[in-house]
Amino acid sequence: MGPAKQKLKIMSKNNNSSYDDALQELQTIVQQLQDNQIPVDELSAKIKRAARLIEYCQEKLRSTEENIQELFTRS
Amino acid sequence: MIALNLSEPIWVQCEIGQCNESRGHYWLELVQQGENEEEIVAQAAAVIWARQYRKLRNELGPTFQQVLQEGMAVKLQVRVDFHERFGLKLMVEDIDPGYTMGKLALQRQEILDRLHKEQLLEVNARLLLPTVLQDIAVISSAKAAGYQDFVEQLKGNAYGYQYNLQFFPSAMQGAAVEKELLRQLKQIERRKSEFDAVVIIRGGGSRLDLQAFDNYELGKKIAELSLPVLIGIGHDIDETVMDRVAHQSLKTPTAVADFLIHHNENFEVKIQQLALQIQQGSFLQLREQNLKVERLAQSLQMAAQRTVQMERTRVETLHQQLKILVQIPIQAARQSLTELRSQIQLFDPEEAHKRGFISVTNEQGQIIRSVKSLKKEDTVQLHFSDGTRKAKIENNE
Repeated sequence: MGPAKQKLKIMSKNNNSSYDDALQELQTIVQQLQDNQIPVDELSAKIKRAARLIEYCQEKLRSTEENIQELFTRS
Repeated sequence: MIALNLSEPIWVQCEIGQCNESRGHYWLELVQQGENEEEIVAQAAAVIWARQYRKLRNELGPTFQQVLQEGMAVKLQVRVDFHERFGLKLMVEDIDPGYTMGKLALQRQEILDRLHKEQLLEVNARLLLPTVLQDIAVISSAKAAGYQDFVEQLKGNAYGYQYNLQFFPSAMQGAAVEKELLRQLKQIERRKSEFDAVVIIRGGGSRLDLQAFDNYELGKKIAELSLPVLIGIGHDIDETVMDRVAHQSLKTPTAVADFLIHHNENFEVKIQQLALQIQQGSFLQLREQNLKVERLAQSLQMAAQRTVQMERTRVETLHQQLKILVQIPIQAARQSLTELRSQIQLFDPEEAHKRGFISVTNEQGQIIRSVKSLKKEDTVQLHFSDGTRKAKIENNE
């Protein structure tokens, strides 16, 4: 899974598992960091990617919560 | 002889065999029946002179005329008269309608007792009335005012109920009643599937007028009819035999019509109540289900929010982990760099200069590593930590 492909996946809002995929990728990055598997040259890119994933997940959660609120107040 | 012996009027009990009117005079044939009803044991002619007739009619009212009918048991006060040419004659002076009434009551009771013995009194009453009464066989006299009252009352019902009336004409008073009523009842029985009930009605009448309805054959026929019989023959004191055997006995034809209307109204009310119960029941169920769904929605919302919250914590944790973890490779790289630098520093001439060593270069800037490369009068550069100085070589040794 190349970063470009994953980036696309996250961007695609119709994909139901995009959040899970993003989370999975985040966990992988954390694991790689813990195992000291990331060369310094790639570190910046990886962290940038991780920051975007976190942002994406948070946004996803925020909109989900908003949806829930809206759905239940409507009924 | 008899006339002489009976100079005073006497009361006699007998039955009117025949009754004929001529020029206002009423000629009667009085009979006395034996044990067997067909047998006549005594017979005599009697007359009510027109003057006496008018007097009695004024005294007794319409009852008088009703008593004065063929087949009636009567108690008469008569004066015995003998005429040489016309023979013996009884002249009626007074009449006791109470006697006739009593006789009729007795007769009615006998019929009722017999019907009771034969267990026929409650048979028709035990028939179940159809839920809705609509197709009605009506036995009445077309002339009877009661029939019109009945029809109008039914038509004018406030609920708009429709009734299908089938008219079966029959005499409703007099001698023809038994025969005609029986015939119509038989005809209705043959067509029983067409009707919900039978109605027998006529306008008002006095007790004596109703005598025809105190009839065993009629009573039995009505009792055994497979349709419920409703009777309104217009009287308000006594019940006739027919009233006793019928499913329902009402005072007037109008009352019968009201009964038919109320019966159907009851059905409608019952339906309305059921509809109301269904409505209330479904409303309750709806409300219950609504509550259930609402509670479900609440727990769903809470669960969903909890899930989101949990995920948020997870993402936050990862975020924190990342922040910390990302330091590790940087720190590690930095550490290696530091080590490298100190290793490198060991070989740095500047460092040696600081410690008091100096290095010497020739005019071309090459490091002088051996005295052999130096001759007398050569110029060299001396490198200190804080600068350089020129120096001249003084000797060769």
